[in-house]
Amino acid sequence: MFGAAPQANQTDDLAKALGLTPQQGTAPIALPEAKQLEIKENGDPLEPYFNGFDEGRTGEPLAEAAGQSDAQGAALDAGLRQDADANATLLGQRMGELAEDAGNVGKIITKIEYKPSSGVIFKANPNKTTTILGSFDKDMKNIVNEMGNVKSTDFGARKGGFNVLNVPDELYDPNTFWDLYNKPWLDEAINRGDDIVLATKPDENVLTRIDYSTGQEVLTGFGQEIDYLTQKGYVYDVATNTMKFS
Amino acid sequence: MQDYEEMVHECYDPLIKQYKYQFAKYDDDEFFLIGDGFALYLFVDRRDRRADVRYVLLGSSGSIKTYTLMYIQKQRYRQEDFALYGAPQDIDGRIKSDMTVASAGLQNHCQDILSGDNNWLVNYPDSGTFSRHIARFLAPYFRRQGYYVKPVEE
Repeated sequence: MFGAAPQANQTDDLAKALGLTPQQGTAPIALPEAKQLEIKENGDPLEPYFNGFDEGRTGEPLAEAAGQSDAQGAALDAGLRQDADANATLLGQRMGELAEDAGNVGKIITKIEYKPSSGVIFKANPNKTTTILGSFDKDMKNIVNEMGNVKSTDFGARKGGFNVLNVPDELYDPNTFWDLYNKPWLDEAINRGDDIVLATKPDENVLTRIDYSTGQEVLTGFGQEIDYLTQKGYVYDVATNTMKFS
Repeated sequence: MQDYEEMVHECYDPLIKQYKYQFAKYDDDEFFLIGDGFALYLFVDRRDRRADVRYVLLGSSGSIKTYTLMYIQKQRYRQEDFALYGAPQDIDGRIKSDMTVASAGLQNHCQDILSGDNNWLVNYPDSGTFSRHIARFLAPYFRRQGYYVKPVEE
């Protein structure tokens, strides 16, 4: 889902969606957390090390205090630094991605160059939100990428722009995704009276698939959307590659 | 974004070796196992969080079309193939299970398809669809095999 309204704490929201906290993965909280969790190394409590770090000491005197060798202390230092560096790098990367996404969340996309397999030419209705549906591998992947691949759960209007479903991976549960995200997103589009454009022609071979866990034929995500719209009184208009309310 | 290349190799290398396919990576979630005038198109659908396989054929007219394997899978795969799905615990686990079943079913029941025999397409319910990015990507491979491939419009 793209083009959400600009908000002050979008990065925080995205970070929350990804289960991140600003401190997570940084060295200053790693040790107290480990201490709190009573993490042990080789079965021995690391209490002497933690006490040492609380006092700003390095690995070698800590190792000595814990009755171990200088070499083990140096290794402890190196290992902890390595962990801290790795965590900080990872956090930096993820926060950078979040910030980049947050910068795009409020952006309303008004133009899509991609030529979909249905042959439709994407043209946003300036007075409405234009919702795009289609098969992911055939078309939606390219559309989502062109739109910046911004993941969001804001299903609000994008007047004059395009609207696609693209929620964070972390929220995906096959048992609940339709009810919690896909259906509400489509309901919003229906209630707003969006123009609904199909990037992929709704042929059986893209509306259904084999469920490899059971061997049964089931609807794809695109298939579920078309099925739901049909239940709601929409029909496929071949000439315009749109779903029209009849 | 996860790169699924390693997972594809884990699940499809037996096929690649047995049928001497050329492996080609389109991006992190689309891959091709290229045979003589045909290819298996492996993809991860990040929207439905699943993996699947389709068949790509270079037709006699030089056009490249993609076919679902769903009808063949329904007809030929057996319960023991689907039992390989297991009980994955997360999205990537499910994607790997999808690949495992798809690959095993092909290997166990579709030697004709894997060998490039296209008789299975006679009276097949799917008449094939054109996919611009697939045609563009595969055209040079098929040309190198000596085939005529229709130019793909920009």
